[in-house]
Amino acid sequence: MSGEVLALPIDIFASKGAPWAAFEEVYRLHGARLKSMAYNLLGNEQDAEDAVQEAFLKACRGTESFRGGAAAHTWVYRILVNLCLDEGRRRGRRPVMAVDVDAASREAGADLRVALRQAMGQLPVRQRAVFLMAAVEGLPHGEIATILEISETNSRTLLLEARRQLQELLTK
Amino acid sequence: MTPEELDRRAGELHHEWESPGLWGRIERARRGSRRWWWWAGAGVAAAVALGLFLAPGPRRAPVSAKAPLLTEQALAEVEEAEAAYRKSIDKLARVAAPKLAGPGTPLLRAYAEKLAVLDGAIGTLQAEVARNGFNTHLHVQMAALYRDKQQTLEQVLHAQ
Repeated sequence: MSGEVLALPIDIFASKGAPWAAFEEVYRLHGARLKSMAYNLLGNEQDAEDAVQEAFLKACRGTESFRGGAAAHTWVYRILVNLCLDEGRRRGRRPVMAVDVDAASREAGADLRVALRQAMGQLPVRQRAVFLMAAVEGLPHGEIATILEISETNSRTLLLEARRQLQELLTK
Repeated sequence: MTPEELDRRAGELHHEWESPGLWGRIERARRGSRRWWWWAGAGVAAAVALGLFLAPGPRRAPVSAKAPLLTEQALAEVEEAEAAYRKSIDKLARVAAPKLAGPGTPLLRAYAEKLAVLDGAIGTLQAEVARNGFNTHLHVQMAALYRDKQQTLEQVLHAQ
């Protein structure tokens, strides 16, 4: 996926009276990436789609608390990440452990991917979220910082730490 | 695993699949949830209005006595504001009338039903205000009902 679409800000207040149209645009441009993020956090396509649906509904209901200045897509990403991490905590287990290993292992080179998913599940929540957004989905640090409400420097630091821990886990 | 290999493998975790019906499902869920809120709001408003209407006189009197009372001057201003609000809502209703005359979609039919419920609640509350015009709570409830009606009419105008 190119990072190009991420540069497109969709301020829902710019489309006053029709914020839902802005969310539809967010889905059109970012739907695939949102689904992929949810899939990697929850482990299966059905749960991922349910989470994406819930994220859009929450975003729509919460437009009053939406902060102008951010773009609508970062708002949806933020809600989705929080939903998936909450769901992981609710399940009481590492979310990535639920990945459909049988389906994944049918592909070539699946072993390392499965191992990587399992290792990701052992990272602290913020490191996991940053690694997923940066390394897996290719979001720039500026976007990640806005989504997670942290500084760009913090985002870079969390990514470095996540990489270091994953390398350790995968070489054990 | 080298850092380069880690990055390459991480990129491979991106997973795409077709979900042709997902956006439609999201839109249906949104409409369903909004409709639920409309009916809940209308139901509460109707219940409040009905409760006030059916409450026996002797019990109502102490409540009114405790309720904040408007002064003559404030009451005149409130009634003036309500009249202006009513007038603007009536204008909106006239614009929306063609769409509501023969609602062709389930959504418009739901709006028409909600407006009928709101009109009933407004009528009941107006009768109560006529008997006890100085009660602030009644005017607050009236403003809420007018606001709900205004929003519903605006939604009718934006509905496809």
